[in-house]
Amino acid sequence: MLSTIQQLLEKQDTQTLTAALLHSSRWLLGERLHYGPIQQRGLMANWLDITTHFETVELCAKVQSGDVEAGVFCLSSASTTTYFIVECEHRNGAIKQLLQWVDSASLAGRYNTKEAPGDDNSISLPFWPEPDPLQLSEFDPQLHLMTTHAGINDVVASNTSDKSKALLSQWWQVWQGFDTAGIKELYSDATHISVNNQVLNKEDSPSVSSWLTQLEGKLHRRYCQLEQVIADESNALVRWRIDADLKTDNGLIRVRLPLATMLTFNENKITTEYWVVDSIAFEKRFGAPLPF
Amino acid sequence: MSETSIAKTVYWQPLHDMLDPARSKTQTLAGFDEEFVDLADYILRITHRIWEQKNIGACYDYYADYCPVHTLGGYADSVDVVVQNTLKTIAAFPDRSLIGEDVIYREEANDVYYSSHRITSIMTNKGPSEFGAPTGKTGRVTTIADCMCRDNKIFYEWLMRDNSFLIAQLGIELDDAAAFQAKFPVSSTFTQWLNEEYARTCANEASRWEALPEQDKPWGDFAKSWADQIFNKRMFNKLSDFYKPNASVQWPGGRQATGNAAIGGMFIKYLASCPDANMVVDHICVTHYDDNRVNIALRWGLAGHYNATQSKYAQFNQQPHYILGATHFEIEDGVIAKEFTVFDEVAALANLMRKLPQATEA
Repeated sequence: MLSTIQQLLEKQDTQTLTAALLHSSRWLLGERLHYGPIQQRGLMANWLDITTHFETVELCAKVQSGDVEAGVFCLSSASTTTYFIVECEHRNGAIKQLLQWVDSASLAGRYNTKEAPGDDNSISLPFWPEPDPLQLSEFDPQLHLMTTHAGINDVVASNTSDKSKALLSQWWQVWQGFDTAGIKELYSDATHISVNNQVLNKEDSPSVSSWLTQLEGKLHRRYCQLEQVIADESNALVRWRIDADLKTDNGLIRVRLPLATMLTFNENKITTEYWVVDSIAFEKRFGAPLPF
Repeated sequence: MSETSIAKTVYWQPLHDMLDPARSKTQTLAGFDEEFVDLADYILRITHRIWEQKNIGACYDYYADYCPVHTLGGYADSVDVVVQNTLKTIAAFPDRSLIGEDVIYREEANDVYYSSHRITSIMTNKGPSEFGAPTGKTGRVTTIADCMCRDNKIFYEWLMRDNSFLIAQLGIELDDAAAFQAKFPVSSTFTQWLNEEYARTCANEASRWEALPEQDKPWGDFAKSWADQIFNKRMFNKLSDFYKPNASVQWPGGRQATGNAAIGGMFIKYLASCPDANMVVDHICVTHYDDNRVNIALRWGLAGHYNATQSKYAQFNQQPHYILGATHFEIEDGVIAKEFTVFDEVAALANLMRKLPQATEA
C-alpha cells in the first residue's frame, strides 16, 4: 500500500488513497494523530503542495512483515533532499494506520528559500501540525539487571531469521548501549548513513562515532526504548525513542525524541541507514530546538 | 461468524459495512431489533445514528426511560436528560465524529449484554461547552462508554472521557476548566453516589457483578492481579509479569509510555498524587481475538487522599479523592501489548474544588 502514497505524490492521486482509508483510520504526521476525512484531506493537500517544491520522488528502501509495510522516500530537487519514512498497516486494500516521520527541517528550508530569499534559518512550516499533548514522567533510566528492557528479540516478529536478529541486536547495542567499538563491525566505508539530510562520514559532516557521541553527550540521562521492528532478510524499520534531559536556555527539561530508522543490510554489514527526525515537531512540543 | 472474527471485523470495518453489516447474525439478542447482528453492531450503529447522523431523538429508541448515567462530573437518570446533554455537546462541538475503536462485550444473565465501547472523537469547539467559552480549536479525545443493554435499550451507563487531553488541544488550562465546572451545582444523588463509591473503594469492596465465564476467568484474575500488584501493592518490578517489553500505555492528559521503565515511572508519578490510593476493579469483560490475542475491558475505581505534586494544588492536600476509570487491554501472548486508560481529570479536580467526595471516616 506504499504505492498509494507514491501515487499521491507522483500523480496527485487523492482518490486511491481516500478509498483505502477507513472510517477509523489514523494518520500520524508531525507527532499528531489525525482521524476522519476532513483532517485526512488537509494532510493530502499539504503533501500535494510539498511535491510542487521537488522534482522527483523516489522510494529508496522498503520492508514488509505481515500486515505492515514501511519505506523511506526521498524527495529531491536540484538543491535539496528531504527524506521521510512511512509505515502502513493494511489489509485487503484498506489502510488502518499510516505513520509518517518527515525531515521537516529540510522541508522548511526548502519553503523558506523559495518564499523568502535571505530569510533566517527558521524551521517553521505554517501548515505543520501541532503535536499531540504529551506529559512525560521521570523514571529510572539505568539498566538494572533485574528489570526488563526491550531488546530486538523481544520486539521483532518470531519468524525473522536469526541472521537478521543478530545484526539488528548488534545495531541496537551500538545505539542503545553506546558501543562505539561496535561501529566498525557493523558499518563499512561504503555504508550510506544519513541523519535527516546530513550524510555522515563525509567531508564537513560528523563520523558515525561522533554522531553517537553527540547523542550520548547532549542528551543526558538518555534512555532508549524500542517501539517496533519490522524486518525481512535484508531490510528493517526500527521505530524507537530516546527519553532524556536536555539543557536549554530555560534550564534542564525532560524530552522525548521519536526516531524512525530504515536499514538495509548485506553480509552482516549495513549498506544504507536512514534516520528521520521531525525537528519541527520536537521544537513545537518542547519549545527548544534539537541540540544537534 | 465466531466472536473472534467479529472483533477482527470491527477493527478493519469500513463505514458502509458498519452501517449495513455483511456478516450474518451470530447472537440471539433476544428483545433487540432484528436488524442487529451482534452487540458490537448494535453499539456501533446506534452511536453513529445518534451522534454522526445527528438523530438525537433516537436516544428515545435506544435508552430506557430510566437510565442512570454515571460520570465523574455528574449524574443523570432520565432519557430526557440524555437527549438534552447530547444536544448541548453537539451544539458545542458541531462536527463531533465518534469513531469506534473497539467494542468489548459479554452476555450476562437475564438477557443483559454489557458493552465497553472505546471511541475516538474529533471535534471542533464552536460553542460554549462544559469547559467554558468556545475556542474554535479542534481536538481529539478518547472516551470509554460502559453500557448495560437489554431489550434494545441501554438501561445503565458509565461514561469516562479523557477531558484533560482534549482541553490541552483546545488551549484551556486544567485549573480554568475545573474551576468553570466547579461553579455548577451537582445533584444530591451525585454527591451520594460519589461518597458511597469513595467509601466502598477505600474499603476494597468491588461492586457486585456476575462471575466471568470459565474461559475468561484467568483473564479476570490477570486484571485483578494487575490492579492489586501495581496499584495497591506498588510492586513495580512486577510490571514485566503484565506488560510486553515494548508495551504502549495511553493514560489521560497525554501521558504516554512505552516499555516497563517508562510505564513504571508514569504510574509512580500518578500515584504520588494519591499515595494511599486503593484500586478496585468493578467490572471485567473479555473478547477473544486471534489465537494469542485477547481484549479485556475493566471498569475500576481508585480512592485515597489527594497529595499535590504541583504547589498550586497544595490547598487540596489530604482531601478525599476518587477516580472513576476504565481501561482496555490488548493482550498478546499472555501479556499487555497496548493499554488505553481513560478518566476525567477535569472533573476530578472540580470535585476537589467542591470538596467532594465527603468522607465519613470510621
